[in-house]
Amino acid sequence: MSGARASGLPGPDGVLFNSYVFIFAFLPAALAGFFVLGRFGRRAALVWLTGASLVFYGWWNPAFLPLLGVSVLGNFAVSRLLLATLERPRLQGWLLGGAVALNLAALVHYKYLAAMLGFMRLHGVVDLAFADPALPLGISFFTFTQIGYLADCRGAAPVVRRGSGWLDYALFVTFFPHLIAGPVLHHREIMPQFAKPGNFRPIGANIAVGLGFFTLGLLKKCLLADPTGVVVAPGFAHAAALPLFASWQVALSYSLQLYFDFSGYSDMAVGLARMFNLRFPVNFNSPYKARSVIEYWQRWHITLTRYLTQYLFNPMAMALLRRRAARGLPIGRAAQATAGGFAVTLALPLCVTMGLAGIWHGAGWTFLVFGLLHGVYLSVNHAWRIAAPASARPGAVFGVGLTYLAVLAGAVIFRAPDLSTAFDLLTGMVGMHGMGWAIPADGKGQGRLLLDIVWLGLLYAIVWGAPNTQEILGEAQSRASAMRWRLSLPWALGFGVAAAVGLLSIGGTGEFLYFQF
Amino acid sequence: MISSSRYLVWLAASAVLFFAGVWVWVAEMPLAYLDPEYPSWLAKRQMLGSCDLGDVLVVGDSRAAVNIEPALLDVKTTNLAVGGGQAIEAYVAVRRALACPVAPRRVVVSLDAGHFVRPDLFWERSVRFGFVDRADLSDVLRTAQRLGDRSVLTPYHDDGLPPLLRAKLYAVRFPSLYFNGVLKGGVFLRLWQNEASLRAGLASRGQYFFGTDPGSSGVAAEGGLRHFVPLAVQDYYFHRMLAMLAARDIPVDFIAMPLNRSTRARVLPAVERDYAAYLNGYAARFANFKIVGKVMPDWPDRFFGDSFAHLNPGGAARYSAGFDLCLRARMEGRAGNCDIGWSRGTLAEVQAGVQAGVQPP
Repeated sequence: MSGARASGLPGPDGVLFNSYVFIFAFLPAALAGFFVLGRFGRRAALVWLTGASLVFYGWWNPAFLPLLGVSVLGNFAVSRLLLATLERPRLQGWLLGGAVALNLAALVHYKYLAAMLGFMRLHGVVDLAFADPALPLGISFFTFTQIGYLADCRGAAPVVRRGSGWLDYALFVTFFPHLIAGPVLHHREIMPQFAKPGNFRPIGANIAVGLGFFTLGLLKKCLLADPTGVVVAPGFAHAAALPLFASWQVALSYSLQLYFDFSGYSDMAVGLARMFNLRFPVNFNSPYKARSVIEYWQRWHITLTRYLTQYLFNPMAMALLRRRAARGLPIGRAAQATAGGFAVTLALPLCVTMGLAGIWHGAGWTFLVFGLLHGVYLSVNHAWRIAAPASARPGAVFGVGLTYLAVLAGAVIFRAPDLSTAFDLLTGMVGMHGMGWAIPADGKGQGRLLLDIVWLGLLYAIVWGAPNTQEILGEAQSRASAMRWRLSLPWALGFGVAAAVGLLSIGGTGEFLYFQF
Repeated sequence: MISSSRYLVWLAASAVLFFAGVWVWVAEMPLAYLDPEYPSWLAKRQMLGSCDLGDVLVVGDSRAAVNIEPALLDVKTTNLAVGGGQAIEAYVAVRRALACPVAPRRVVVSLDAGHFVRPDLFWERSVRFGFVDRADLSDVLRTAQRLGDRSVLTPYHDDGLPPLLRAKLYAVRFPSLYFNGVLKGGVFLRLWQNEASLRAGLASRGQYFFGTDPGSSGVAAEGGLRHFVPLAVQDYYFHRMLAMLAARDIPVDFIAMPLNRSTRARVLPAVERDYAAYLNGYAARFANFKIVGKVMPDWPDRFFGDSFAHLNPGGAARYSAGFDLCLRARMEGRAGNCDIGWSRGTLAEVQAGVQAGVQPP
């Protein structure tokens, strides 16, 4: 799960990918500097790109640059210590534990402490006043990225590539396309790319593909996500008063807004990296086409799922399995065949992982419940997978529909400001507030209803019927060969028009519904 | 297949051409795509441009734009009040009107309390629609900077653009700032309706409607005000407008538009007191400036068409009938009864009473 709220995308003062400052000033300068300096060697180019990334980050709020700098340098120093103490696993363990604790302490301080103390004050546990500090942009992303790196530095055979210096590391963490909202990168897929001499000169094909990704992402964000979100804020603000159809309209609109927002952001990040000849992993792969919740998480925010699996679920599940093995209890499939074994070896780590994934998005009960709900979904899905015969598996349409409904309920909880609002909207969706379409204060007359329905229909046609960006741009297999991009005149002209539409859509002054028509 | 460099050249060429084409459309055909309110603003600009203004000029906010129907008045009047209008827009309209060969004999100003204390749609309407032109905008931005008042420097939805750059982009009708309208307006689908609205705006001498519901109990901006502290930049232009009119010895009547009772019940006494004190301060400073009627009159909710306290057509007709009587008296140099009431009678009875010189109760 991600999106503006979840991922902590910058506010209007930040350098967004979809801003004039970014597109017309920052990006051309960053690209030009990188390739010009690349002629003089990789080091100069990497220094430039790291500096540009820090400028990008500092544009939002320079006050947080020291925090990012200390975090990067401190974690790099610890990583060197971990690599230097391979023969002393106990010391390594202490070092890693201390570094992880420090990283998490910073995260807790900025993201959770005020909410935790507020909750404790509410229940009379403490009487401390603590002003909610401004949240450093992308702190969750750069903290988790670095914890993963440190974890990989540990062990007798660390998977970290030796010889990677501070510059490679600093760029790996701060590279601007992923710094503020992912994808959550793994050092093994990025840092080796910094070493390839061919990556420091402009490659037309990569710029063309990168522009393609960026353009499609920009269109998704500006033309599809933003207009769809118009009903969302007033809808959630009046959730208790929404009748059946209005509740559905708000919930569906939010799920689509989130989809196109995050999909657009991911496309833009992938495209930007490609312009610098760097390949990012796929982060978003038509998740609403998933036939199960398990598949959904393999398609939505793929790099976060991968991270959570690698650094949270797997270690936890392995520890539980080792404990069971030590007690002589069955492990593996045999364990999952019993209710107790299933609960301990699969459901428990799933729910803990997803619960933590939920609150990773922010401090609030809604995030925790969202995570736990998905933990339950995944557990039920796995139980069904294990227990049901293959002949009982649902058809594709049923599977996609059921998965989408489950995800939709989770999205309502995720977006709601509190559980009470989420409950109001969900009860509205089952008709407990009567029938009807009216959304208070959305400013739309009834005459817009048909237009809204057509709009949602169009978006679902794209979601379920169209190839996704990586399929269009030939980065993934697709059956729709006619929609497959190639270096040709029609595609150049088409993407030129699309890019112009994307640019025109940026920062456009909205029409205000103060005037009723 | 073509080479990647040729591909990029074609892509750039097509992007530039398409962008340029949209720019030309945006600059040349605003009636084809702009919001349905635009033609009403254009009508006012055209009347100002041709100096077809009559004896009385009405300036102010959207309530004045709705409630005062020049077509129902005896005195030839032009309604230059605009949606979201504040002292800046009023000043701009008056300054241009005074540049005409024949100056208006009287100016009626109506600005609600909210429009003195917080910004409205300055960029999204006044600048976007070209009502505040490049020279006026430069003056406003310089003044706002000098006064340290950021209220007009930031648009309603922050686009991250520095105000001076935004001003230049609006001046050249940079297409991104209008593209949302182009899409929502179906590129050209608003043309016919907007042309009809322009004709209607010219025929009504600037009056136009917002909400037309048969009643509204929505609470308007005044109901949410905690204090009345005028924005420095609005106060500056209010003062400048009155000084300009005083220099030409043109009488100015300030007349407050009615609130619905749902709003009136929510207005804090301190807000009403400070608003009245503010206006009275100007009445004391400028001999030509008079406050006529109550500063926060109220009418029953049934006469309002939306939650912004705009009168619906029935309410506006009643109000205009009462206003006509007030205006006639003012033009004859009498105080007149400008506490305009709604009357329980029918509209025809109200109008008949007004003809006989009786202000509706």
